[in-house]
Amino acid sequence: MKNQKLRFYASLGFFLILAGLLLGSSHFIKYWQQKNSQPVFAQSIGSANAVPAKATVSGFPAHISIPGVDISVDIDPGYYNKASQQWSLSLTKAEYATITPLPNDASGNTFIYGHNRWDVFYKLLKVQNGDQAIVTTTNHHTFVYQMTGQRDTKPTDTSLFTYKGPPILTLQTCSGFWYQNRSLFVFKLVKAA
Amino acid sequence: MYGGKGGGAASVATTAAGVAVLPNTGGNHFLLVASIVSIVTGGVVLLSSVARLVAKQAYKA
Repeated sequence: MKNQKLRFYASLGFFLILAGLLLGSSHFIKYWQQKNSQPVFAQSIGSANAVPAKATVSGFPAHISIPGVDISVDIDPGYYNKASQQWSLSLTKAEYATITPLPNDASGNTFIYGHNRWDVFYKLLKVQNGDQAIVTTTNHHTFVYQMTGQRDTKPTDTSLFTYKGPPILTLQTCSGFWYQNRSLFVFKLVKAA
Repeated sequence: MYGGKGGGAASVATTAAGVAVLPNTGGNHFLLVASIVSIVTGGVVLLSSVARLVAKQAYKA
């Protein structure tokens, strides 16, 4: 009788382990893949072209697609609250940081961020150098960017906000086992229409 | 990484002084925590029952 009870507990333990592994499988696999992939560091951006004085094309971003990794998501305005040090976030859309320049053909770093969720930027971590990101604006302009580099950084690394130079796009989602890293993907502008 | 040349800022450019952190764009923490709690609990239950079983066998012998 007692042996049966012990066997029951052993089975229960085994079942709990199995259930835990199943529940976290996508996260564990993604973490393992991330850990075993080669990091690609950003190339120096903005050293070649002169910066035009004024933007001729600009607009509020409404949609972003990255065909290489099958991302297609709408964009909401994202706000930073200085008092609480929190950013607005959506579970289903990407956010354009309104404190950064609008997509334009003159200069500055346009920053768009989104949750590491299936509906938003889950697949962003698979994007590769050379992949294109297409941003469409509410006033029907289209900006085509090409990825030039990626890096993982700390949440307190705000250097992207001090960028001055030719127009670039930075996309962000979180990575790491506890989502403790901020993965930044930098794209240069190749076409604005 | 962001070492571009300065100057010539467009009219659309803004500065972002005062930003202390990047957005926390993490995924679903609930699933992760639930799965880890489940694995740890299962491990403890499994190990303790195996230990008790072994101890019982040893006591009998």
